[in-house]
Amino acid sequence: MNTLNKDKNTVIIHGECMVFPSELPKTATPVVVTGDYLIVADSETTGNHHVVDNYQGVNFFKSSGGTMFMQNTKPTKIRCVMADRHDAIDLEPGTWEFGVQQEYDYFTESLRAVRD
Amino acid sequence: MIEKLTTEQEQRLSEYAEKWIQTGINTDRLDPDRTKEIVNAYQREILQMKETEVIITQNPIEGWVATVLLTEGTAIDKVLEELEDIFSDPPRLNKLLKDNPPVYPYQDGAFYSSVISFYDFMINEVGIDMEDDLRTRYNAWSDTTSLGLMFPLDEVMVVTEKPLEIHFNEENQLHAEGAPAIKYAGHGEFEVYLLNGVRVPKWLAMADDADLELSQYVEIKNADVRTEFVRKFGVERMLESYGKKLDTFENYNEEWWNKSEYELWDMNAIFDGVSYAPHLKMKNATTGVWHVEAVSPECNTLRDAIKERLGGRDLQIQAIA
Repeated sequence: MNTLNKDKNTVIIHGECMVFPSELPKTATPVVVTGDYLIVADSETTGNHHVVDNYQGVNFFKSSGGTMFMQNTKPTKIRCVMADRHDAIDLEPGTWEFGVQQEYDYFTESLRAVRD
Repeated sequence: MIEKLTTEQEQRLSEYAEKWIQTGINTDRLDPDRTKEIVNAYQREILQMKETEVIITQNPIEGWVATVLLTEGTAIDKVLEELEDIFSDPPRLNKLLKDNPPVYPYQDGAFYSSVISFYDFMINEVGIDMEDDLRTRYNAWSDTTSLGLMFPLDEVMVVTEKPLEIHFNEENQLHAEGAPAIKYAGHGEFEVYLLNGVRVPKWLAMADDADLELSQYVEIKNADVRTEFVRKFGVERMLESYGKKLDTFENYNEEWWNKSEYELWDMNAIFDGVSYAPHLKMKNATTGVWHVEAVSPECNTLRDAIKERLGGRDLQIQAIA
């Protein structure tokens, strides 16, 4: 398992999921997570969701534009439901933003979020 | 309060895991008498209802159609005959399924093996005790893992057979080349196609590698399915036969670009009427499997392509998995 810092202008890539050190937007609202983890990039067809473990001290938020954020006072990790696909990566305490990488569709001539 | 397993208990976890994996993937045909015993115990102890007859169907589609027919009034002793009729009449079958979209059943038999494995270990190895009444109920519940899906109705229980075949690769991922990875007997062609654990279209699982065409690759919308196409087609065959290398990680001093062996290739040959179609080739840092993903014609260098992949942000990658 890798451990990472919170340098600005950096990104962690976990499959198609991106994790950025960030700041929480003022408009962000808390996301109530009752389970053991939150899906931060879902897999519509394979079920291999990218998830972040939900411990005490880990809080999730969503911006008005729908972007997911996390503030954690304790380390957590991003991992895959199917653990053999991508190694887990530790996320040190801080504020993190989640996104999905882009790919280009030559039929529609447009960018879109990578789907799996 | 038990807070920690002993070393001996931990050592036995894998034994229980294997035992219940084998239960979950068991493909033995159901014995009618034993099935009725299990169903009746389940009805008596768990559902707390009267014991009923049992109808065994060959697969989940048959099970659902039988359940619908029974709820619509088909007699229990006529339902298997009616199943034959309806599966030979596609318009009627399609209407039934459209009017009654399949619902996952109340109890899912062998698919529940993973849950039962937990209780089995806790009872037998950790020594969790239970009263006789609860033990009887637990046993009735646990025994259902030797069955397929179970659709309980007031006057009858519809039970499905388990898959006829289940295939895995060396990593124990569901996988079969040239055949369904999961195949049931009976009507409805209940087959599931997977390559290396990824559900793929039938044509991709069934095709010989040599018969695959790149025109099929560009039609695939799902990244995992595309990766399986690349794996089957062969990344070297795909890029070196149809592409032109534009840029490589070797031109940069970027740790993670190096580790992922990022390269930019022009793949315009696979698109009609497209003069420039850059694609990013990269290696999954965990599995070592190659991915090939399209980037826009705006990308002339690897740096352009990676920036675009990252949503237009010029960022340093500090880890990839």
